[in-house]
Amino acid sequence: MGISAGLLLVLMTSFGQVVAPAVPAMQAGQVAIAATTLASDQPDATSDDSFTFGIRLRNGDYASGELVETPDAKEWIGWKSPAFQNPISFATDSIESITFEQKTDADSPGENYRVSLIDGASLTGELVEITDDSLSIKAPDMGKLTIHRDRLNRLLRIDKSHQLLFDGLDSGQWNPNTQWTDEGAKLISRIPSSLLSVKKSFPDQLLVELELSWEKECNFELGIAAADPSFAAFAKLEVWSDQLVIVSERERNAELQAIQKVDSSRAGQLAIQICVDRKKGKVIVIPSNGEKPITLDVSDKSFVLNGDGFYLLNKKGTLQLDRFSVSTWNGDAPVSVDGSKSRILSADGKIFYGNVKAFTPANQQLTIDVDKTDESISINEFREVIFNNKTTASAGPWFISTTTGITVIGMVERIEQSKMWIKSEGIQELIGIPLDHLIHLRHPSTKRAAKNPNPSEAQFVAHQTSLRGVLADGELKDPASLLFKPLSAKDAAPISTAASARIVYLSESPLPSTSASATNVMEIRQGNGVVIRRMTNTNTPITRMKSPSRAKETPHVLHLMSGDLVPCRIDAIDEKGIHLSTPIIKAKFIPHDQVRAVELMPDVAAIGLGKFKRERLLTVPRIQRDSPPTHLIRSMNGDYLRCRLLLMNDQSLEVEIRLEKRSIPRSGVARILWLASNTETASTPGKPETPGSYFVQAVYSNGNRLTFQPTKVEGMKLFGESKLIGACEVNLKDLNALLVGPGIHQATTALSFQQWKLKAAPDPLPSESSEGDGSSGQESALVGKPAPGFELDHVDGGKFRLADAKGSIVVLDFWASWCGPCLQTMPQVVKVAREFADKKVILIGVNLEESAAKVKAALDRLGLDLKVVLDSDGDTAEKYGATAIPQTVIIDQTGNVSHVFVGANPRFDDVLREAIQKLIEKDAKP
Amino acid sequence: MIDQLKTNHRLNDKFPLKALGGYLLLAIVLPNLTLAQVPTLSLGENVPREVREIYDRGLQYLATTQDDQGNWNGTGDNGPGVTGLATMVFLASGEDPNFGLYSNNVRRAIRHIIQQQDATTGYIGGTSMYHHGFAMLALAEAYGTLDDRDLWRAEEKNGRSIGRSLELAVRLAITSQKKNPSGAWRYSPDAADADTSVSGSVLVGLLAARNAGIEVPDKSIDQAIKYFQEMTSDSGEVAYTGGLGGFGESSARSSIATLVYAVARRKDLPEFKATLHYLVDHLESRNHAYAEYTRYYQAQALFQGDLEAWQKWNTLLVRQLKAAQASDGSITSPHGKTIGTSMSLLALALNYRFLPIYER
Repeated sequence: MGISAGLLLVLMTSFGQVVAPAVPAMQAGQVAIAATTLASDQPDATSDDSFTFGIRLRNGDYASGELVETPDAKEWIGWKSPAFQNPISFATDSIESITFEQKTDADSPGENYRVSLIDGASLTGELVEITDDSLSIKAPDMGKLTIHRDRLNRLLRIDKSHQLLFDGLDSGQWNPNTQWTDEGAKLISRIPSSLLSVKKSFPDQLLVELELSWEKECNFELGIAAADPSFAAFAKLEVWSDQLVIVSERERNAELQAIQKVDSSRAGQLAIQICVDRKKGKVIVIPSNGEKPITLDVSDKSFVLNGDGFYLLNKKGTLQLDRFSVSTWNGDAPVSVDGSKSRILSADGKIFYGNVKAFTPANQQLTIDVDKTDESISINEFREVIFNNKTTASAGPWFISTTTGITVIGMVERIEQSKMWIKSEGIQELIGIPLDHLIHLRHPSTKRAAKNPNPSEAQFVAHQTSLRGVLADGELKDPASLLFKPLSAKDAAPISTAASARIVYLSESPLPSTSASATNVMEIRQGNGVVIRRMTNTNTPITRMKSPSRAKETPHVLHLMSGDLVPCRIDAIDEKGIHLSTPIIKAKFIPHDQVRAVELMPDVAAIGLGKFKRERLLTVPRIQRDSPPTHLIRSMNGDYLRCRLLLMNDQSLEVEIRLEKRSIPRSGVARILWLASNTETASTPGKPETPGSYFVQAVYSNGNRLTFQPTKVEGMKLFGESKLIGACEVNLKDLNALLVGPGIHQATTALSFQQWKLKAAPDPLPSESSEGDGSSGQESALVGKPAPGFELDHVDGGKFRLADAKGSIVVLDFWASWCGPCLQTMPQVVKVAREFADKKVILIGVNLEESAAKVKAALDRLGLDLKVVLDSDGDTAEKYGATAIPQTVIIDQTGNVSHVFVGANPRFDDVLREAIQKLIEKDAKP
Repeated sequence: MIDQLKTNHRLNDKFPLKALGGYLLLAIVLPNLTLAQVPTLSLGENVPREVREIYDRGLQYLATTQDDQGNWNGTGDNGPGVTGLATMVFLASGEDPNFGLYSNNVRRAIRHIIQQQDATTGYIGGTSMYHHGFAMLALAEAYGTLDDRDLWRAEEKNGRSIGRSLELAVRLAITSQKKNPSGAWRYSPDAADADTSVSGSVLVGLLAARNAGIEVPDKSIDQAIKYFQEMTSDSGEVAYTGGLGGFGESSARSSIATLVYAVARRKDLPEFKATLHYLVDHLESRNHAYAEYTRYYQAQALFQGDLEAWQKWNTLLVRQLKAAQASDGSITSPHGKTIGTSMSLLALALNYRFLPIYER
């Protein structure tokens, strides 16, 4: 095999000469390239989609979907996942959290009230009544709720001006990042120096409510009014050793206030409020330990807001963001109060220490008991009531938050009538939350169960879904789809035929690294005497090796269009297809249109094939476009031959190379690839040939693959059928994964041999403008744009700078002495330029990449007198798109390109004269 | 022997009865010979099955789409040139044109061509010299092969014989060439310019007529060959109309030039070597706009110039035609199915080598 010399096409237009051929055409046929490798094959990499909405189980599993009606939710909660045809009932106590996608913006309640309970729950609604025993509110969509007085913590009249501007628990609100993981109602960072940031404009007055918790170490930084640490922050909250501080750093000075101690050596938490007033230059921090608010004065005028927003940087340790809400603040100074007493705060800031006795809706009056005297206060005059009840731990397994801003704590009783019904301690009624109001449910004390490494289990992985469980036994109905039973589910559910999923059996299968050297061979010994040998820079199937007895029986590997990999013995190849024998499948013959590749020497070493060589190998020259090679044969030593394979027997391969028949000894052939053109016609699995057909692809841990229609599951055995390969029986224990659904096609196209597709060499581009034929010179993209600047040496010494010629009309004539048409045109251009010599028209001949001596000789020969500059590296010609010369460019008085003419024309002088004349006239007009 | 017979026959074309008499006599002496065109006697023995299948299906298509007037007036181009091409497909099939399967198709077609000829000027079709050229070629190929004693029905007894018609056609072509400053032909017989495509169709027709025994002045052939020489570049590319435009790659034009040089017995010319070299170098390239037209000439040019290259190219042709042939046997072209099928089958017919023009 030899390398054919590239054939350089010289393109000729009618008049101009093309300087460089648009595409060097490749000579077809025998292309020998010394090195190769195959594209990597990683269809089984774990799903990388980050789970956002759906159900998360205590064992770490998760699934997207939605709640379904469940009459008794105490034990099981119904969940409809798009990956399954039927809902799955998950054990209620196996659920860690459920997060819902907010379909609508939060309802903004009118003038209403928020009631906080001692367990942390909070409800909003219209205040209905306060009696000796209870307080009742009418919550939107939930009706009247009666709360026992003992459970009350605070009653707050919600100010209209109090608006939520940013909710940091919604990971989508921050700039995209991969370092913080969204775990529903919290964001967690386990990586040092992980950053959450948002660039957004906020009003000058803000209230930031921040709740954080950590496992061991607390070391973070919160930037206020700074989109990320590269911007100067208005103020920063930082941990300095064991102190939480608020600091403002300016060019000349820094202000600092200690807030409170944080024990950063063990797990802890923090809840603070930060009031920011950028106008007044104040930051007020209200600590979580009941201490007085701390004010930081940052009234330095030198601060310039640049890149408004927030950032949270976890410097070290595991940090969990439990709350980050930014809302409007009316600027009222937080009041320092005696926190141990029940009290009533009025709208004008007064404090009454005492109890609310009653609220009667008729007169809209609160009756309060101050120093054993009853007083009345209008409902409009009070802001907050603080009851003197001690807070307790939550009284139920579920924390439930909604779009309307309430938090409910309790037991989920049932899911019915599009509502979730909750029994909450101290609340008389069942709370019915409309399902479309739910944002998040979580079990606060949940500890994740340790992963159970039971080998019979598999992991079902689909989009936004990862569930461990088992394939359920049974005959499969039509349309066939497998039944999967998640570990904590009541029953098995049929996998949706539309879902692309992967059922992973051996997630620990050795995946080779991509960075190791090509010659590095990794051996993995398995218990059954099988040695898997892999080149560590590629996981192409060629590196598999069977046990000796097996290898004798199936020394070759057949790759099918379906993505299947079948160990076999290739007996012969004829014009119809491949004749093989293998104990793996029943088929003895596979037609050509189903074959992707044949490995005759599966353990031949791979050699890196560069992008350029690979592209060249797969590019079909124009001359061969209608008769492209159909096969690529790789020799033992890494050469490639493009050809048409006609026959193969024990001894040799008969091939046709550029219509010539040749014989190649079979012993020298490592593998044969069937070249696919870019237009794929063969049927592929996952794209069902007939409605109702459903495929699975078994991916063996040794890399082999089988695609078929499943018919039955029996224990760890999966049975199926394929038109091509006959009946199949798969032992699930041998699998790395079972691919199901339409995604098989995608996984298949990612396989190494599937990527070998021929590409037609591009056609040469015709010259864009053929000014020689009399066009107006306006076709070039340069026209109307500022002329690219340049500074070039004059052939007689000195320099020419285009910028210096501004105000004049400049005519650039790109030429070379070897270009006949240029020499024809140049006298015309010189003649016309001379006619306008007194009208500020400058003619510059731009010579392309020739020596000064050659240029002078040409000018002497032609008897021409013009200024010529030397574009010795062709850079200026490139700037002006002068790929074909002669090219004449006119630059107007303002420095913009007005005309680009390409090619010669006997009447070019007229065209040029007219163009210049027009520019002069245009300039003369006021 | 048969070749010799045919030559004799042509020399005696003015006395077809005599010639035919001798011919029939021989047929009686050698009962295994079924008249002139016997597959076993041709050069191309052992025609591959797939070639026969494509050809037979195509023949069926042409046979069933011809109308009673001998014309193919379905979709696409039609006229005496198209009829001429289709006629040659039947003549090249190996079936006896007088008594064989398609004898009626051939007779209808030849009558159609002659009826389209102007009795005074000899111009066939009256619309384009393309028609004239291809029709003239078909007449030349049929001349001496087809027994035209009973070509015409009783009411058409005044119909011209093939020989007479061919002579008239040759005369028109020569007159047109004489008037043409380039010494070649263009669409109109009165044209003052020329192109290598029309000229190719007329010149091949003239050469076939000469081979068939019709008198064609050497001067005419030499002049036309000179025109082609002028249009041939050193690299073997052939211009279309000459002048500054029209150069460029075209396997069709290089094939036409190769063919006319070869049939004119001018393989000695450097231009022949150049065009042949170009073709052998571009075996796999295909002219998409005129695929059928290109392969019609490419087949003959390669066959005349380089048998080994032709054999390679023929493999590709068979592969392409297998893919291109519709279930009704037709092969589509931008000019219609009749032209597409006819030109493709004539390219394939080199495998049979029955047509006299295919003789090397």
